[in-house]
Amino acid sequence: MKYLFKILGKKKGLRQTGSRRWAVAAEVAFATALLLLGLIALVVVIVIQIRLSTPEAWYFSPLVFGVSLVVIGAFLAIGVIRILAVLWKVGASAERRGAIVSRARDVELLNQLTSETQQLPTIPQEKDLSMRRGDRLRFRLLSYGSTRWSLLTVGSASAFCAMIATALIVLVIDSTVRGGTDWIGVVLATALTLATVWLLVQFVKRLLIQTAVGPTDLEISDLPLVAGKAYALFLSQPARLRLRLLELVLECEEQATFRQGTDIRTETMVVYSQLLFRKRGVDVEENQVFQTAVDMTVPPQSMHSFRSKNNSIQWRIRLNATVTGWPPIDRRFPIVVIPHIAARVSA
Amino acid sequence: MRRPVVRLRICNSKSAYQPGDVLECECSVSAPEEMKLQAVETSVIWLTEGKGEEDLGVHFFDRRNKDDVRDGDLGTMYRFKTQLPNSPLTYDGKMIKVHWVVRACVFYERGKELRFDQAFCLGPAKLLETKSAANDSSANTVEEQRWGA
Repeated sequence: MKYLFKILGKKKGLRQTGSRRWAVAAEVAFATALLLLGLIALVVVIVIQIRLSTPEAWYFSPLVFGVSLVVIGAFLAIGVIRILAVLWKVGASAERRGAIVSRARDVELLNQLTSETQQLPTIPQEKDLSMRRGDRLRFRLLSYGSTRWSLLTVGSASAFCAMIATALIVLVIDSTVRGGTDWIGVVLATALTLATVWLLVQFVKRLLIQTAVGPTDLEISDLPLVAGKAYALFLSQPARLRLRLLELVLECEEQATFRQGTDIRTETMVVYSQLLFRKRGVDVEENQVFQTAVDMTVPPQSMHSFRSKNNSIQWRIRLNATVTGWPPIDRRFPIVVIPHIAARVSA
Repeated sequence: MRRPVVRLRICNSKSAYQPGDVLECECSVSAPEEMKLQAVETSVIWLTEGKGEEDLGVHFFDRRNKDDVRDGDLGTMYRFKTQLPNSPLTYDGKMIKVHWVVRACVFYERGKELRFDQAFCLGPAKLLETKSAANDSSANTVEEQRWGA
């Protein structure tokens, strides 16, 4: 009963009457519905204007067409803005959002690192370090990952398929009404509709996993890392779903770019992988965060981070998490490793 | 046609150099007079090898033209030294290898060029054995976990 929305209930403790999880889900569902409605309406209006209208028809008027475009544009804009707002809100912690807004102090921090690493040719330097000042440890690492890009790709593909499928459906209905059924159109429309539904399911899954697992905060005691030295990590992971597996891995990856005919290809290979932390079954209650301290030693005599025009060696800490029935979560935190002797010489 | 003989030698030769070490080299070229040497370049460079396109970085470079030396004789012994940088270290990876070499390039008439390399090790860095995630007992245990708001 406590999750039922109370119209006249007094808010005790929290500023909400219901669950935050449901609030986010409802907001996402509403924004997605608006976006889809706008897209479908746009296609219908354009198809009607191009194929079905006659100059005598009332809906052929430029005024009606203009007004419908404005209304549809409003639907699309509200849908996109609401989805982006939800992603922004749940995709980064309040501290990180604050840090992104106030970049000024980070510039000072980066300048400090520049002087430490300028004597290290081919080793990525300050602009490649994705980090902020940490709360518990010295630096907070920021992840780069394919989550948002895959969300954007799947979202765009589903929107594109939905538009084409709608156009085909309108054309098929039109041909049926006029007396002849376009069977090729029916087959294509059915296939595209199925593809659209599948893509939408994938999009919603990714969107929900992004909102349900929450941002990862990973702090580290020092940067850049020196081969052979030990460091402390602190992981904070909110999880609104039960995580079947949560692990942190230190990885070194080689990346080579080469020409093959007229194509330019890039190949990667993880050449070193060290498990730092693993826990099965992470169950976090509402408004709580899973936190753990982790020790890490960069292997002595290991190759340092390296970057040239066509080749690179990248170190990173990788968070892997799995939730039953959902796509795996993969977040990568790039780090820079310098050779032990270089640290001594540059000190 | 006879080829020029290039003697490229690392004077303080050792199995591996460390960043900051001084590398001393000497280079001499013996070429028949009809070859008419135009220039000799000496350099200390790193280069990559492997799956990717080759990259090259120059740490030290010197070019001696025919007009720059006494009597126009480029064959005389030439010594040079340089302090080695902190990186990149020599590396023998799976897809990428990083090598350091002392290189001498001899240029003679009609734009022809001959190249001689003398390899050496800086560091080097090791290719590590991957620790299997499933069998790794050194991973942090979960006793350290704690819950926070």
